[in-house]
Amino acid sequence: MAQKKLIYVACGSAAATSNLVKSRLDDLLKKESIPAIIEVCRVSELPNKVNSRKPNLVIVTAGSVISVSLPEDVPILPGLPLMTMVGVQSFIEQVKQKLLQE
Amino acid sequence: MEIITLDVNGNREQVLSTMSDYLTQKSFVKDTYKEALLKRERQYPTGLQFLNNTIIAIPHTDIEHVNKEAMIVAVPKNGIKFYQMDEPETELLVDMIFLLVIKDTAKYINILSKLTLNLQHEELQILIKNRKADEVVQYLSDTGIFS
Repeated sequence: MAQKKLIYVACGSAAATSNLVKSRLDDLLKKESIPAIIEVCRVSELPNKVNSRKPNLVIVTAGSVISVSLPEDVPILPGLPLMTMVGVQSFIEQVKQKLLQE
Repeated sequence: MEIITLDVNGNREQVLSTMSDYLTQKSFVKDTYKEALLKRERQYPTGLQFLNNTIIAIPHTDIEHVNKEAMIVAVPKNGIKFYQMDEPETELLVDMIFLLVIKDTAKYINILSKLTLNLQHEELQILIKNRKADEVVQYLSDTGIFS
């Protein structure tokens, strides 16, 4: 089995939005047979978390992805398509691309 | 959980204040709620655009400020703009505001999940765009969202 991918999902309080996105992402990755560990955190915790353990992907559901400063080699995507289901197909493609490019 | 429908007037912060004052007066929330809600919305805006240009806002703040659970479904009487959740520089003219006042995170996720899934249905989108708050509440209740 392929090594599990590490994904951080961040929102304002690491409560509602990020957990909802986490659970939908879980289902989605299972369907795609991509094994992953998904952790939720606050946007403000991201820099430290990424520093201590580098993820394969960061998904942000609060605020703009531009406002989050992370190392350039850490891919980051806005997670709103998993809230509104608008553009969810293109979101899935981007997630797969980011996770499988390595 | 008590479901409250309200007509609201004013700009974004005035509307959030009106709803907070209502909740404070009825003891649903603590005195710290209003400031926390306003601060959160400034920091992390909650405007969401669904299909068919159905636009809602889901303002919220930490559960520690809540005494008793409720949801306010508010209809803006004039155009109220919220910033978009993932593009805080983009303003969205909202059709309806769903203020979830919840003490339990798991319950919050559950309601948010059901709300966003139901928002895929055109029938609910039309009710929201037509500002029919009571009918929206009835529609959501019928789907078992609050049970």
